Amino acid sequence: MTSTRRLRQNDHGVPHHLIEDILAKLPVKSLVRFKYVSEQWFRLINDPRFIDLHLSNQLKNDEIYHLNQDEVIVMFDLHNEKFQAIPHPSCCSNKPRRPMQLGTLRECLCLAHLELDSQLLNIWIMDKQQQKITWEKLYCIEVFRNRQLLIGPRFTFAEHKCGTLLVCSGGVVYLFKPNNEICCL
Amino acid sequence: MASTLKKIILKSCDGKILEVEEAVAVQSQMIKNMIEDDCANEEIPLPDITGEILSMIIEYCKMHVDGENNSNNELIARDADFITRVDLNTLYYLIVAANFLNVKSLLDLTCQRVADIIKGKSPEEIRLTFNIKNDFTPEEEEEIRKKNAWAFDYKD
Repeated sequence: MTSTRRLRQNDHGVPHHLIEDILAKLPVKSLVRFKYVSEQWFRLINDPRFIDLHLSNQLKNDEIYHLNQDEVIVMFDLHNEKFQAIPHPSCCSNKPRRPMQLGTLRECLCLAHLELDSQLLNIWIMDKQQQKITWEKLYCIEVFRNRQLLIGPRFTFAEHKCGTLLVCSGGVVYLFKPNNEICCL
Repeated sequence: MASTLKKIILKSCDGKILEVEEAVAVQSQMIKNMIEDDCANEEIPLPDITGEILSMIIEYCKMHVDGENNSNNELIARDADFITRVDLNTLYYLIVAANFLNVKSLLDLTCQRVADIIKGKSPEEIRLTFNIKNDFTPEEEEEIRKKNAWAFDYKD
């Protein structure tokens, strides 16, 4: 609030520093578009101080998850800068660890767990309410054909909007359709 | 707990007098500071806040004091219910008042709500909403648009 420009109010009487507070809560895509509202907004949105403010808002509830060598899911809370181990879905916790991968589906953390004996791929989706973590089984798919397992220990997965699951393993993309049909790409 | 029963008297710019329990009033950091400095024994004039806006802020603070023992999710649901009833014009007044009274959680809530309302708008709509003059030359505008073409795809 040092210059007269920053004290200028618009018709609604919202001072410029409060406009900043509003803009700092916008997604990046909106901000990039709003750069060209006016020269003042362009300068503000490119201002490193504003970028810091925006980043600190974005990080408020953010967490990074990773699976360590012992297949423990570790959460790093970016806001508190703390590490924490989080529980697996109940069926995976007691058995010896099987090939697992973390990923995101529907903007939630997911754990894909390949059960070698039953040749099933289970995908669990995490729900975090306050500090309580629960897992729900999202997919349970048979991943063998002609007695051959299609998926190796390292794989990635994604979801297509029509309910098809895509799994990439060993350079091949497999499509698991809702009607149990499997395609290779 | 005699202190929680103490009433704080607030006067809006249009002359409305509101009696508020101290526990509710101290949700405002500004009023809390005044009480600590022993300056809140008489009515507190609020020159830029109308009675209507002040009542809404008190409703919000009361909701948070009453809901202290509720779960976080319940409070989030109540906040959402409170804020979606407010139109954009009233939101601007609430933001200015929440800033003046220093009610941090309400300032966050109102700013987030405005951000949610405007995030999908075009720059032209934003200029209309905030009454901002476009001071770019057509060439400058064209250049920014070209550089950031991806952001002008409005699907999300």
